Amino acid sequence: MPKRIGHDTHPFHFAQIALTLKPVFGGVPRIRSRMSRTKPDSNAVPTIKSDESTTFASEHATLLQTRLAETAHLGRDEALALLANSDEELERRLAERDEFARDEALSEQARTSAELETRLAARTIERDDAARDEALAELARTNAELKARLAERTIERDDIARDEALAELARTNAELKHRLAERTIERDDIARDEALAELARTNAELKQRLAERTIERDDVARDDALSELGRTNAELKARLAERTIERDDIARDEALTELARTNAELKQRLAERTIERDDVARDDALAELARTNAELKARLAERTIERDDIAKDTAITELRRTNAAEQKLHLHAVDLEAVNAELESFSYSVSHDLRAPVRAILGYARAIEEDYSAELCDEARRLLAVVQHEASRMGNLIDDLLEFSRLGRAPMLNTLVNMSRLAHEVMEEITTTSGIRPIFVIPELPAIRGDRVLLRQVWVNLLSNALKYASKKSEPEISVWATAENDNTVYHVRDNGVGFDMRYADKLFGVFQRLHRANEFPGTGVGLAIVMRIVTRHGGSVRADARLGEGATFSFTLPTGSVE
Amino acid sequence: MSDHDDVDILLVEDDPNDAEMTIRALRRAHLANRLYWVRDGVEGLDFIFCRGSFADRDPRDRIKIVLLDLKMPRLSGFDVLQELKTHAETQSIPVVVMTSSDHERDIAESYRLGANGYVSKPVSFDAFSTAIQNIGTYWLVHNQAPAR
Repeated sequence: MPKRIGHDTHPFHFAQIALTLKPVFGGVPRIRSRMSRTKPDSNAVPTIKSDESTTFASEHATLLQTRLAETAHLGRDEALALLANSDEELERRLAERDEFARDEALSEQARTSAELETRLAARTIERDDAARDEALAELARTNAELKARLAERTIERDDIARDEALAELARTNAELKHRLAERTIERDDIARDEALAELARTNAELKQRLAERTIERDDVARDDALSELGRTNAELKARLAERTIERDDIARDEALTELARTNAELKQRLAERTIERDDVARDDALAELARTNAELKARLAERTIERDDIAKDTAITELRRTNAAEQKLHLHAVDLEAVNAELESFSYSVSHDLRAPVRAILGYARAIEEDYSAELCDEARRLLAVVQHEASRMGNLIDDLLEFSRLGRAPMLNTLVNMSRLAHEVMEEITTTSGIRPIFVIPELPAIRGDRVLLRQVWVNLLSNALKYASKKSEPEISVWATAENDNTVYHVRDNGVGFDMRYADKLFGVFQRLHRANEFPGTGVGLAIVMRIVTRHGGSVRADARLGEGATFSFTLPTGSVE
Repeated sequence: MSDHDDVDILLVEDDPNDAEMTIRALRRAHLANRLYWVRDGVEGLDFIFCRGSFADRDPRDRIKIVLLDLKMPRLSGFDVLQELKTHAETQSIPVVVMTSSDHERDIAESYRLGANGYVSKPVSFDAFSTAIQNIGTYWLVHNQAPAR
């Protein structure tokens, strides 16, 4: 039964084991020299980490040797127990070292990051956005590099440590196997089998755990790298997108310009080709078109000229006719004005120049009569009377003629005229003057619109005539009345005088026209002409009805509504 | 004392017949004793303003009435009327226009210029004589002139 190594084992036994195993572990001095060579670089972190692992492995190997030596005298079971304890410790210390190394690396990274950030902050104050972007980019690069280096170094270190551990383990195993083989001779199969089984278990476990840790570390590094890559990709994509948009705009503009150029060129070429190809056909067509146009224009021009000529001739003719008519009218107006002016002048001359000599004749005749009547015989006095009478008649003719002219031209007023009162006033006036009092029959007469002064003259002339021609009757009688006739009012004046022959009625209203001799009935023949003129100016008419010896009726019509 | 001193009636008339008839009518009414007759407007104004051949006339001699014809050679009746009526010392002298014209235009113009009356000379000598005598009687007998 082999004796197992326990806590109560005496340290003395370990020394013995080391001495016994010395020839077997030839590699130990190599490990020691390597360790002494790397020792001055212990402050350089990356190097010393790897070497520490190596040193640790060699120390572990030394420890194993020592313990093997100490346990040489022990049974196989005890040696295996001791080996198991050594493996556990190795594992623990490896974990501690890795943690330490990683923490230091992380600390270094943090310091570097802080430093870079500080520098970045300082530089940001002084620099623009571009500089900051560069600093950030630098930071990102540095971070990435550090991460990469950390990953590499971790992997490297782990690999070395693992390899060395494995190598050491292999060596230890080989040694242990060898010693076990040697001791197998001395020991039983059970102890060896157990040690081998334990060793296999330990190896598998170590391998498993190393693999797990490697995978974990690789995952972190890969995730970081992937994250960085993702960020870089996103940034690059964003910038690419921006630049693509810019480039697209430029490209589009250029493309459009190019397109326009191409289009223009194509059109030009097309036009050129069309011109080339269609020259003949087009020229023919154009020539034909031009000929047709010219012909149409010519025909149109001819027809337009014809039509214009006709229209123009018509217009000119019409214009000439109108002008001629206007000219004629104008001439008429001028003539009328001239005639009017002449008439005015004539009236003035007659009134002034003709009356003066008549007045003189009458005046001097009267002077002869007054101063020399006693010296004249009867015949001389009769002849003087004729002179006076004819001169007087001439004066009356002149005055009546002027009156006729004046009444014909006098401006007219339009007022409501009380015809009854007017007729009464006039009748009173003329009977007073003549001294003849006829029977006067006059019912109420309708009023009429007209010029009172002129209408008064109508009554004067008509009633004077009536009285004159009835005056030779024993009972002169004058009747006045009015009738309605359509839109007119007709006033009638009838006398029971001598009347007249209706065959000469058309001469009644002419100037200086008389149906009776002056020695029968005095008068100038102007009275009825004046009546007709005034009535006509009022828009009315006059008429007469008579029978010789049975009196006469003179009627004048006036519009009931208004005058002129 | 010349014939143009102490004149009551100044007759301005170019027609000698009319002048003679006028004077005859006035004489028969005993109104022509202090009448002076001038033949046109120039003489009329000379007489009124005491100048020319009438320079020796005493301007204090008040004319009671001017009988003025319109149609005269040289200065017309309108010219005389205007001159007479626009001077303060003569504008109160009564002027009656006596003319053959009964033209409305002449009547209106005469009154516009300040005439005191307008009479159209009748053709009939009786009517003429009556008109003249009435005028003379009115202005010489009935009318009262302002004090000088």
